[in-house]
Amino acid sequence: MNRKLNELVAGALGLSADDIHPQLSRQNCDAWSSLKHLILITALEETFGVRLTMSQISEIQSVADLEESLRCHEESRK
Amino acid sequence: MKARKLIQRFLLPRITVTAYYLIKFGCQISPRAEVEFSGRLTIGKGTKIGSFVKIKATSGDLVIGDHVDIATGCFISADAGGVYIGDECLIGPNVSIIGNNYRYEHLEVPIGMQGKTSIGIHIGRDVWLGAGVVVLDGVRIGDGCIITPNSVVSSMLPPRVIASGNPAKRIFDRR
Repeated sequence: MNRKLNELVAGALGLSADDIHPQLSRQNCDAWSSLKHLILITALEETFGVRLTMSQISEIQSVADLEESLRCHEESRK
Repeated sequence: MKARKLIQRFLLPRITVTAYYLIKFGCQISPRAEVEFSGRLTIGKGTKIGSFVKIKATSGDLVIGDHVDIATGCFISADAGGVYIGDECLIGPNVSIIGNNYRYEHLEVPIGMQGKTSIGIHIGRDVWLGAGVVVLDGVRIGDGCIITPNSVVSSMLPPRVIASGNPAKRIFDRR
């Protein structure tokens, strides 16, 4: 899942997959604008079949948060 | 130029137009805006039109809803197909809403002499058009849409989406 997520984040932010790490966040990445954030969330929802609420979307600040959201969603499915 | 148009454009003080539309529709038009006198123009109550806005509505119906905010420098032109702007819309600076296209089927005839087509534009309620957005003829924008700055809307957008780019594409569903 991590590799797939990294590729998705890289594609949405226009970065190389090698540049993606869990600590990459909206604060330390210039490419991660508010617009790119929405593009990233839409790509995430379409790829992993999840649906996030607006509060969850605004709480996501980093790649680690994205991983956590997906993990929570997977657990709620079980 | 017809005498009536000449008088309207050059001899009629802008403050007269502002006062006329304030009394007729209860809307606020900047005296620096250029809004045509036309029976085909309807402006809703509480709508605000900023300075240097140009509104043309002599050859088609133009309906602007209630409490619409049109910022400075916008250009809105209605032709035969009409233009409709729903209530509560926010229209950013320098937005262009162009309700017609030139015909261009004949290569040997200058484009400007081939006439125009007009399907019409429909913008739903509570739509936010960012600065510099261009809306082309034939477009329908659903209620609650947000269009990011400098996007070009050339096709239909469903309700409550955020769209961006040229041509504007859905990037997010509002929820």
